[in-house]
Amino acid sequence: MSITTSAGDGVRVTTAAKNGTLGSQAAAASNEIIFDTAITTNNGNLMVSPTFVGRLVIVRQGLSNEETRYITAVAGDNVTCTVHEDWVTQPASGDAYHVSYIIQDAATLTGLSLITKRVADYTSSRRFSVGNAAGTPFAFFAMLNGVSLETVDGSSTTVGDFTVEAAGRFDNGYSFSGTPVSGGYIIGTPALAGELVFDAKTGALLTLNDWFLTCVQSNEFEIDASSTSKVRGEKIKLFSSAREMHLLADDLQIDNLTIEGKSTTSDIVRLRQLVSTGYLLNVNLISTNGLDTRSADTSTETIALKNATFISNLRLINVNSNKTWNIINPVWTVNTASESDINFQTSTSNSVNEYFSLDALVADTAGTGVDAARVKIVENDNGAGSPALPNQVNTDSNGDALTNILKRKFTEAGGGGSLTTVTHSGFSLKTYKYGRAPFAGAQTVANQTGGFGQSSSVTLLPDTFQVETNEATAVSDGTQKVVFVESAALNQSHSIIKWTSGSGTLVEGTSTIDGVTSGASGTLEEIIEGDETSGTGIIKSRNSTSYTAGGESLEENGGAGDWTATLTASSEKRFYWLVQAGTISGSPRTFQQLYDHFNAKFAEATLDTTDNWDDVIIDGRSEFAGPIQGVSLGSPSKFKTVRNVALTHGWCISGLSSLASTTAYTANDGTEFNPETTVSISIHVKDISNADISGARVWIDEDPSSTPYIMNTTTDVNGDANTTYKYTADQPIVVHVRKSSPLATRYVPFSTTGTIGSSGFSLDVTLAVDSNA
Amino acid sequence: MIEKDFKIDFKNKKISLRPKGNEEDYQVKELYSYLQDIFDEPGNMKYDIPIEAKSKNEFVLVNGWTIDEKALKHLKGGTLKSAA
Repeated sequence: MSITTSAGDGVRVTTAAKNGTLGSQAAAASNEIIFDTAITTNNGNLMVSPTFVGRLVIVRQGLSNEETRYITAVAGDNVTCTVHEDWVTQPASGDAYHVSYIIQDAATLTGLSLITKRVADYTSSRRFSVGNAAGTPFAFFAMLNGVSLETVDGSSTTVGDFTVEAAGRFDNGYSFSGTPVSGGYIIGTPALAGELVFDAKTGALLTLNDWFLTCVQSNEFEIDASSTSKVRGEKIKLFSSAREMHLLADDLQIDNLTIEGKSTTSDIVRLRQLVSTGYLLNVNLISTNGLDTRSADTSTETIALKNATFISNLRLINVNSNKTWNIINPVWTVNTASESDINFQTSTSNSVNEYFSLDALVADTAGTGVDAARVKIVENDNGAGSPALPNQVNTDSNGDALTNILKRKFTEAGGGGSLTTVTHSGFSLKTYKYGRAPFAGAQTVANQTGGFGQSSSVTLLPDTFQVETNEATAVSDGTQKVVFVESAALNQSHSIIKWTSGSGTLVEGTSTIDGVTSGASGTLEEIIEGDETSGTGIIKSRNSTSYTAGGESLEENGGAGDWTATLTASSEKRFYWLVQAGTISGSPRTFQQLYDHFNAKFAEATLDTTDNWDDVIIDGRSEFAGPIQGVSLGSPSKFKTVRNVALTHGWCISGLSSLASTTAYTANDGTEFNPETTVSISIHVKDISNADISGARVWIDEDPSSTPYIMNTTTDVNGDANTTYKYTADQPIVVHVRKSSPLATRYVPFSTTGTIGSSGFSLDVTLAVDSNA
Repeated sequence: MIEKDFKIDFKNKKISLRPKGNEEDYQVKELYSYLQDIFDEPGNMKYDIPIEAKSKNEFVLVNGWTIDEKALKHLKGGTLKSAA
């Protein structure tokens, strides 16, 4: 007998309705299976006029390529059946198969019958079980085609009215192209609250599609703690069955689960840590006393739920020792002033972490997903607090990257009675892919309106400034790797200063340059312009005292060195970060090589935190996702440094091969250090007949003027006056041209204003003869 | 010599009569030529020109320059006005 019945044990399904080994499947279509014999041949206990149609069949049960199908038709040969959708792996000769019992079969035995006037609704006067404690043979029962079962009132808190035991498999409905198709439902009818209605014991196998269980009282639904049970479910509703509810199989995959209790303190839903492939998604928890782990269990566990909505619960979570609760995309309100919502039984190694998911889609300008792009979440990048880089994920071949971002962490406050909340904020999303310009933007971390988590789309533009096409070459550390020197404090940032009237010698990396009046002091990192006599230097880790803004005497090593000079007024710029550019093949990097190296390092599969590249990403400016930005294309291209998003941390660079590609290092305060470049200033003076005028005096200076003047000379025989100018930024100027001396042709004076730009300044001046002089 | 009678105060942009000068009279045009000659010297190039000619006998002080009444009385043969 394969379905047994007795007054004590009740109705028990002990096998499949039919099982065996398939013969040749050569004639089977992609949605067919050919059984070896008709349904009537095998385990018996079938309904009147039994058929394969309306049953489930499992092929290769227990194997990794196991498949279940709903049988929709049987051919005239009584063995060739059509299933509801194509097989993924076509059944083959030698494959094991199991055909399900259905409730109509069980209803032929004492203890289960149709309810009067119903055609698909059954009632049970005995307990109903699938499988047995011995775990063999495999038993298979399915509810299909909209049937229902009203269970017996077993009046027990330990023995379920409906039980699935080891090697017993209970299916409700089936999955149609990923959509759950309901088979029916179960109603528990205990007389008293607390009685056990549904019990899946160790080794039970459940596949529940669009299924609901409802009970009369506040009753129990249990999936016992087990590492051999396997639970699959989608769209499950469990009403009035949350009393000591156990969802404790560790191989559990349930999507769309609604649990509604009776608002009693005993309506507790107990969970445990799942296997890595396990999940609980889209959970609605209603009118319960919240989530908990196994009673009195203090083993170390991490329990995760995603898309969890908490509605009208007495409590949200009860937290025992060593339990980490990760709630992703919760819809809840947490009272942190007490432990009424989240109760910590102890404060031992436990927490509740509130995460929100981010699905980032990274594509190129054509909309094609970018594979292996590096997606980073930076938080607290607002100049306050400690910046962090908590999330790093890579896109898949579709350009998709999914991550969960910690927003709040709840622990028990000291002494208990309230919660300590660590809130994370100020998130930005930064994305890198070598060959493409980095991307950064502010990132909302919360549930989106009408949905869970966040979705962000990133379009990566081509990096027009990249030169090195070989990413491996660009990412190489070279002979000497790039080093980042962070300041100890904002007021101890690195400085760039200028000096004149210097004498003596300086040793880069050793000499300190000290302000005699101010007491400012720092180590000379590099003379980046000029020399000891007149130059510009990077001062590493200057002390907290500024050089005198109006200029002051400078000395070396507190006066112990031989070098002295005069600080150029207002020349000091401060930089929180110093980049030591390192070398390639023993030679200093160019700015271009450094730029390529930065972007290659950002794009490494695993971010190089050992060498502090995470700091570079954190303090890289938001709109560019890095501290180096291309300015203009050319030969060489021009680059500059930019500040962090909070506009507090500037970057300067030492050790470059030259400043030829540098347009600016942006300082902490937003002002710029602009390297000097020599540009030409050319004035040509002629008369109205186009004849060159020699001996005309040409004077040019800044507006307003101060000595030394930019130019104060006379034109040569060709009417030309030329000089050079060290350009750092556009400079407004005044131009005077005069020639009015006795005994020579006198001209009307000429004056104008202009600007010395990055390409210099040139002007043609036409003087009129002064007939009045 | 006009330079012995007229004093140029670059700081205050003022033309005045030297106290111990010859107290001779000069054509306005002579003052104009004198000033143009002074202001194309290397050390004076930074200053704005003090005078412009509107015609052969009509001149204007510009760029904030002024002349005192005593000096003005020693100028003949034309007009010298301050810029409006």
